[in-house]
Amino acid sequence: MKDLTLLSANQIVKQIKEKSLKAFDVCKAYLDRIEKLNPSINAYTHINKESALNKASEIDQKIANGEPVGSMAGVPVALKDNISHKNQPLSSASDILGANDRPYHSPYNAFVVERLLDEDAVILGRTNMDEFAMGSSTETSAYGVTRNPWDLERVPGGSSGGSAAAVAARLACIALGSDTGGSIRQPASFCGVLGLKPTYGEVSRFGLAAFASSLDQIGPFARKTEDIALVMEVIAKHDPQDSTSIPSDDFYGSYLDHIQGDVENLKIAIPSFSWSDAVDKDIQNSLLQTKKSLQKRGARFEDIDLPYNKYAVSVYYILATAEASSNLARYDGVQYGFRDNNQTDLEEMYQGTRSKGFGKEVQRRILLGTYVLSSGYYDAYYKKAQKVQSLIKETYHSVFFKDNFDAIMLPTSPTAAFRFGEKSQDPLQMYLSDIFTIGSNLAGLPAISVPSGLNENNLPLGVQIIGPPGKGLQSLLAISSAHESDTPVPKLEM
Amino acid sequence: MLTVKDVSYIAKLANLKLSDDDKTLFVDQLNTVLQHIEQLNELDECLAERSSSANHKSSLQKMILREDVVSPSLSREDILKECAHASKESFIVPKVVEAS
Repeated sequence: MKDLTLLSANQIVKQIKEKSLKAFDVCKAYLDRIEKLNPSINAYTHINKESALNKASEIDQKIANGEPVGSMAGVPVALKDNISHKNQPLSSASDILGANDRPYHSPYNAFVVERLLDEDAVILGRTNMDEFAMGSSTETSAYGVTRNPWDLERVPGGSSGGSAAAVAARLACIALGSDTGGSIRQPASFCGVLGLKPTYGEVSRFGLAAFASSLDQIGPFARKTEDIALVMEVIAKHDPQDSTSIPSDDFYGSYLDHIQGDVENLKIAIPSFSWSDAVDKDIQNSLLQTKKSLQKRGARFEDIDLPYNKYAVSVYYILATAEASSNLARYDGVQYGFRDNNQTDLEEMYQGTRSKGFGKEVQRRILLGTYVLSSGYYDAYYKKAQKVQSLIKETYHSVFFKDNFDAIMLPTSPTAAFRFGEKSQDPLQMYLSDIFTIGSNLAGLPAISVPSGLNENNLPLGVQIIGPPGKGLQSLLAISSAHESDTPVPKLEM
Repeated sequence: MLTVKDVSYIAKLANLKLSDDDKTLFVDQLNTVLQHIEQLNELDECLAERSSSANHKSSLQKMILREDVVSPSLSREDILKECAHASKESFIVPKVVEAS
């Protein structure tokens, strides 16, 4: 029998609507594969077997009755464990939300989940992540590490490592993740799939457990550009429940109209630091290869300087930790999640709960964030970081609006997937691995990581494309489609 | 440079209780990160004239607050079932008022 997990999301929807495929069979094929492979990869923290099969049967029934079905009918989707799905566990991979004991259950749906369900997607379960999305390797999860399906001795990247690994190993057709400093794009690159961070405000954050609210954005993982576009058609809508959701209706164009791969005359900038010694040779070679094949299709390239990008990591670790220290103040054991019941004094209860509930990386970032906001240090750190953020943002804007580039192309990560433990003992080294992804978060720009072949160790490599805000996503999708025709997404034999 | 005393103070502000080993570990790790962050001082001159809010939001980002009208919310029952220690009506916490 044909392996149904090889179909793209668009193929699944088309065949279900044509009655040549049953949603139940697709769902079952994915659940069987999860049962077989998840124990070695640990991409999922929770599987909604029953509700997924029920939803799939419901779709088949609608088709049998001649009723209309949604634009994602029968597409199996996985959700990162920080996105609310009503009556399902949500722990952000943290013991403070009861990860291994009594997980918090969401009393409502995130906006994106509501949209997916309205369009008849089938939600398979929840994927592993770094605790509270703080990490680049999925090593800080309370559920244990997720393994990279290409090499089980290596990390899948992070923080959305479970989502990336699930799509790469065909344990989900689509997954959603969240990206604050690269948490969708870097794992997509490490696992050989596509991962998109939309423009800030393009996708509602309603129902996303907050890390750094001014930078967080939800986005999709897929194995085809057309599938990224399909998901964006569904989840990118104005939502009054998120005050930063972009209110203009013209902003949300048609994403599926831009996947023909027409890159002729697009002007693409490559930041000169992409060729520095800090970037592995195999990454540089794949960037060069991508440049050459896009040139053949009529795209024009120029090297540029992005002078303030080297400060991006410093700015990020001030702003993101400051926001996190405030956002995570809500976890005090009173209203939900884990509580340290051994304490008889309220303050001791708060402290006991937070110290036992949060892992080390989260505590480290809360401490850093509290420090940079504390009296006497606020101007020297937080205020200064905001000023540098505005400098970085202006530099990006001038590339697009003054020098008229359509996109910026650069590596997603300076290396391919690293081994477990390689960076986890040295927080600064781990933070510096985000050097190429943080800029677009600080500037609020859309950015996608696309697979660009394998290196000699059979590990996937990724190229990142950043676009201008607003309609910038259209050129990203065009470039991604063109690239995909020249360099297909690597197929994982598993 | 942060000291163990500084880290103890910040931990108190953040409602965290750290063991002595953790304090020592965090002092070293946080100092390494803070040393890296000091690179921002290179920009002091160029930042002098800038305000921190300039250009912070793009033109797309207009914060819109909803109208101040009452709308249905989650039920008390749904909320309380997530609490580690609750009665039928409220969250229960350790006593905060001492008898005189």
